[in-house]
Amino acid sequence: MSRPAPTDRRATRGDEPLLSVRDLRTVFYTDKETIHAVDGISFDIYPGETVGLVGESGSGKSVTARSILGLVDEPGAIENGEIRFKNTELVEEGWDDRRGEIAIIFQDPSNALNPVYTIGNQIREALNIHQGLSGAAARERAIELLEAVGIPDAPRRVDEYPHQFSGGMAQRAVIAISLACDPDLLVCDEPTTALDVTIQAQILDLLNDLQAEEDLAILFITHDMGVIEETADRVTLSTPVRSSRVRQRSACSRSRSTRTRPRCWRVSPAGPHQTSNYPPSKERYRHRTGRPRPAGSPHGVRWLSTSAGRRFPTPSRSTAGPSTRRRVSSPARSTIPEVRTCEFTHTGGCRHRSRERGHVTRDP
Amino acid sequence: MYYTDGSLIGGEPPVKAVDGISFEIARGETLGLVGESGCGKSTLGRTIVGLESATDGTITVDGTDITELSGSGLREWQQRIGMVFQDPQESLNDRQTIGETINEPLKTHDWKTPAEREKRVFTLLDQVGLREEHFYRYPHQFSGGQRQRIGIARALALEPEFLILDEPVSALDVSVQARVINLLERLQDELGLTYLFIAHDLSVIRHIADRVAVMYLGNLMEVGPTERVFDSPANPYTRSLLSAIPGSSTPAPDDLERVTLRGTPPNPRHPPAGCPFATRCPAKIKPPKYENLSDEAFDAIEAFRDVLRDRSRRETGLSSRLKRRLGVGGDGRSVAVIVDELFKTVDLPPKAQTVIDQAAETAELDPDEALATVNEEFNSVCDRESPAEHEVDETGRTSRCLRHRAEYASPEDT
Repeated sequence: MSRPAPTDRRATRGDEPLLSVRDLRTVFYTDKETIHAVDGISFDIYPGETVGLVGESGSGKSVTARSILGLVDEPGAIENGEIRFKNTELVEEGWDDRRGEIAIIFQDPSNALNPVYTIGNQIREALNIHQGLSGAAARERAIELLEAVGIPDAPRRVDEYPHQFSGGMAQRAVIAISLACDPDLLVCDEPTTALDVTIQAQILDLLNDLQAEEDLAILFITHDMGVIEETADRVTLSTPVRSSRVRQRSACSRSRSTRTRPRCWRVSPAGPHQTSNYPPSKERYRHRTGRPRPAGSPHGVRWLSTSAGRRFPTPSRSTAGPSTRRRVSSPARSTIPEVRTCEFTHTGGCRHRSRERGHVTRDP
Repeated sequence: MYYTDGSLIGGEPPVKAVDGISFEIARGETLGLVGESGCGKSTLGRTIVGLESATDGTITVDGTDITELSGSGLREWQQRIGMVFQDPQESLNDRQTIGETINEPLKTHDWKTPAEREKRVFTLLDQVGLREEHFYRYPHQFSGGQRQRIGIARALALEPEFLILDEPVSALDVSVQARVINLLERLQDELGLTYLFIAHDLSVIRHIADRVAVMYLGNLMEVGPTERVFDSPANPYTRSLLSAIPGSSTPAPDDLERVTLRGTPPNPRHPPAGCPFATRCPAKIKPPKYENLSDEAFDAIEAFRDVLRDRSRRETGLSSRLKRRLGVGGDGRSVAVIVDELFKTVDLPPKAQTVIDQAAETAELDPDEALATVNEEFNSVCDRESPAEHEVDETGRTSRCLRHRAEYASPEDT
């Protein structure tokens, strides 16, 4: 099982992050309610490294990705926070100057491609907009890109339509389009989730190779901890409830052995592996109840109702009315935990982890 | 189980979705069925339930061949079997309350009286961990995990002995998956159910199945007890599949070398003549006259064959065929470029080189002929012969691979 283990490349790359997100809040306003999809997350991505963003569906991973690219549409808006890319503050100054330097790959390649244009046409469109190439030069470059992403018989494939491509091939084509603008940062939003495991391995290999060749920084979004382990240098966990906040960041090699937060423990061992050997015990963590909705005003720990590490009395959501819930006092319910640094590269935000797991934590 | 395209004249060869497979499921056991998408897993499940009719072969339950059943016999069989579908979103009727949905099979099969049916529905809701008030709600009011519970309750309505679970947890989040799997395990214990569990997620299969069947292109490549298959996979396909799972807590053995397979599974309309896995197999047997060829060179030749196969199968319009014949508009250099790219780092024996060059020349005008030339020269036993079932160990585990024959190195050693 050996794809080369990712290393923390940050140390060798200087201290200037390529992308720096600080206290980002993306909110969707609907007639009925306000949804805090992304609620104050902060992280950095350094040149040439891969940062994994993990969380369950609905935890705000994709909205984070869209926020970084400036793709949040009405009724959503970036309410607060800064996204700094190569010393440009994107939220304030807009994305226009930096278009083409950040690219995105979506989960479902069949939705990302336009069925009525050939693959070549769609790559040429990107080349035309971002690099000003057209005609034979654009076609030549499109073929080169398809070859770079491992599509056999590229000169012929370039004139085919998306329906003639299999899922894995189509995802390669989407990667080719994203490379057309020669980006520095590639945001991969669940790029392998819709693919079979053998095809997933091909795509992961491809992304690894491309990163080495092109010196790309990658923000890799997934819900699969196995994929993250193989690709990411560092991991950011997005909490799966109420609103997304960065829960734990760590160097990837550490993420499985020294988890600081109950939520993080649970996300990975909840998977149906029989041979899990995770600390603190071999038991799988399970959700007690479903996920809270990301609506309403945020107070306290977002995942409280599902937290397996919780000690405080909380009536179940189904039986208790709002007044009952208000009466129950729990420190975790009333305050938002700070993000603290524990160990060196490891930050987490949970209020009782030190008591529960005997972890030493330090203030930054 | 073949699908024909139903045209009157000529027509394409049928799609062989499930192509001559044999297996048994004992009462009370869980058989896991794994494979990539499009390999025929779901078709197999649907054929057993009677939603598709088999082209040939038998499915025997307690001495009765259910492929022969029709009318009341089929209805009786369908009462004994339940099916849970993959997508909890699609498989529930938006306009029916949950009570109506679960009641539907009872009504259809005219089960007892209406009052007793309603009582049964409440019992079922309780069994799958839903509450009484859910009876009156609509599907959109439920989460994915709850919807799958509804699907399970519906499948259990007629007290079946056998459940076909067609990717029941694939659409769910990991943490929700765990709970649905626990529910299925509990129900199996309580009700003595037999499961055919179809999934593409190997970790799920390892957790729940007693025995596992690995499917590829309508064929069962390996069938055996779960532990044995996962701990020491015998078939090259099983080995590749297991090795492709990312992460360190995979169900695959630790010492398994990662194999990234080339390309995608072949079109089931044109399956390979020999072993179904021959076009992608990392352990393919080299033809006798090229026994000493390096692995890289052999891989390059296989990749070139993939390209030719792909070209010769391509359905091209009349105009583009005409253009090609006339030598206009075609991209004349493309095959030569591909050959250069593929073979630039490998050394080929002179004879092989001649054949490749010759094929590269003809490929542009007549890909069929080019393919035939290459196929003839590099004809491996895997391209000709379909492997028979080979019993791997004393547990009755079987695997289909020509490498199990005494004269070849076993798949584990390659």
